[in-house]
Formats: sequence, structure tokens, C-alpha cells
Amino acid sequence: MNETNIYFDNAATTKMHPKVLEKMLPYLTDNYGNASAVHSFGRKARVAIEDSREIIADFINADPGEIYFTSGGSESNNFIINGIAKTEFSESGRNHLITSKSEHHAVLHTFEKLQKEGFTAHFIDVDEDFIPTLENINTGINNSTSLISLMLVNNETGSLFDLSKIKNKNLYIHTDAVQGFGKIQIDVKKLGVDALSASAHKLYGPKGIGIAYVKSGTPMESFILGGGQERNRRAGTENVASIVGFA
Amino acid sequence: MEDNFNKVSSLKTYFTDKLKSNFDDDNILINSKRNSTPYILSFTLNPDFYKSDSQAILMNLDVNGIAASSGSACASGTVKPSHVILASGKSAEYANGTLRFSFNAENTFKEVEYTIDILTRMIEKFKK
Repeated sequence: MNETNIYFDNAATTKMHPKVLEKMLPYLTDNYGNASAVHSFGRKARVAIEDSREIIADFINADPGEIYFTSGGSESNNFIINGIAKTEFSESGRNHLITSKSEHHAVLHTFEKLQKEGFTAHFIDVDEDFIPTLENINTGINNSTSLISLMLVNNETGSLFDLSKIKNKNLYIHTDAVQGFGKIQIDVKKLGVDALSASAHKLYGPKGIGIAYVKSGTPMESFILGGGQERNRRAGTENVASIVGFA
Repeated sequence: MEDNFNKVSSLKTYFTDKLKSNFDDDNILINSKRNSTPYILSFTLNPDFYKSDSQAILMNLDVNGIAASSGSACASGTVKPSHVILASGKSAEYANGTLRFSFNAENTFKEVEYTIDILTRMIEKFKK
């Protein structure tokens, strides 16, 4: 048996940091309250969630009210793309969506599903360095384009794309930032994006927790229906320990 | 975050330099040279010279205690060429010869050296 144990697959997932586990443990044991409850058990959970939301919002120069907790990067991508595409269509009639051929399948398959539902989707080519060119982006945009979704860092090749180069402000811009979040500086305002997806387990956090940043005022319907959690956009009792672990 | 970034940057540079010194430039093709994150190193064994079988290489690496990944997405037991590599206009063969090494700040230069040693010996066997 080989004694060597070298892990060079950190883009797949990372080892959880011991400090993360330490922060999470109280919320898996004694602090088990439902954050929607009025009693002290619930309030402890609520405070932990909102503190975490603030830390994450600060980290990307967003407001806490613009951060939604999800089950991970894939859900955030589904949530944002579906939500913006459908709400924008019902509000303005715009039904055209743009992405690139080198996105994660969580994005590509969501686009394909929307195509089947009647949206038109344009999948742009990438150059020899796996980066979408501005020329391809600009020729893809038309008057009915509501949303463009392009990843910040490609998960397979590591290619970086600077979304601030997209100057067309008449559409919503989403970025799958799963491979960039916590690794390169992200300021959502400088980047000029309306929505962003990220996941905790790519940066020493627990699996099963992610965020969707959605700029205030962005038209977006809810994804999971039920209780009023996450400002009515993502129902379900909050995963308190994981949320704390993410932050 | 900045310390981690600097650490993985030097790891990736070290890894890339070692690859360049151990192999001819046209044998190992580094992907996304122009602008990429230091956290991910993607390269391809030139299919003109090597059998494109990243899965076999990954299994060999694993036997030697190294966990890495390929550019291929494994779906329901079948290995399809990576849609990302194909999207850039490269061939399925090219995609199937692609490997991905992704770093964290706890990885060491020693680990890179060991990996390069193993890779250098192993890749010989994949020569056409």
C-alpha cells in the first residue's frame, strides 16, 4: 500500500478546515432551534444566520438582503437562471438568453430546459484559451435578450473571464463564480453583475451549502415554494450549521 | 485570501516550469496560458505523440498516492470528452488526453516534485 497521500483535486472539493467544523458544531448539537421561531432557541439560530449573511455580503461588496442561502452552486445556478428568465419574460416579454458552450452543466442544462419551454438560447463559442470573446458576446445580444450567464473561472481549465468587460447594461448578467469565490477578489459592483453563484465546499467549507447573490431590484421568482424563508424566494428551514460553516 | 493566492500561484508556476523542463514544449500542452486562475492547472498530452487516455493516467497516479482529475466528465459510467475542451474547437482525442491538477494552500513543493517524477516516468508508457 502506498503511503503517499497527495490531493491535487481541490477544484472538485476541499478538505473542511478544522475551524469551520468548530464553528458549526454548536448548531448541530445544543443550538438546534428553527430560525423562524420566536423563542430563544429560534432567535439564536436567526442571529447566526443573519451574522453569516452579513459576513458573506461584505466579502463581495453586496448588501445582506441580496444574499440567498441555497444547497450549493448547482442550485444557485438553477435558481438564478430560471428565476430571472421567467420573471423577465412575464414582465417585459424578453425571451432570449445567452451563455457559452464551456459553462458548467448546471448552467447548460438549465438553458436547455428553458429552450424546451419556449425560450430562445444562444450558446457562444469560446476561443483557444476557453474564454468567450466580446465579439461573440456582442453579436449574440439582441433586443429580446434578458439574461447572459458566463462563468468567472472555468472549472476544468481555470480560464478567467472578466465580466466587467460586458458593457451592455440593458440585460441581466449572471456569473457562476463557484471556482473564483474566496480565491480571487470579487466585488459584485466592480464586476457589474446582477447575480452570482458560489459554493462553500470549494473553499474549505461544508458540502450542501451555497449562496445566490441577487442584486436588489432584479426580477426573480422563487424557486422552492413553501414557507417564507429567504425573503419568500427559497423556502425550507435554514441549514443553520452549514450557513455558519460557510461564513 | 491573498497569502493563499500567492502560495498556489508559486505552486502552479513551479509545476508548470517543471513540466516544461522535463518535456518538450510540443509534447505537453498547457491549457489556458493567457489568463487563468493559479488554483487550476490544466494540460494535455499531445495526441500526436501520446495515447489519449487520461483515465488510465489518473488511475496510475492514484496507485502512486496522487489524486488528480481529468477534463472529462464521467456520467453514468461512460467517459465523454469534455464539452469545455470541445467548445474551444479542439478534438475529442485532445479532450481525452487532458489532466487537471487543482491546488490548495496546504499543498507543498515537495508534493509537486514527487508528482512530476511519477508523471515523467508514467507518461513514457503512454508514448505512441
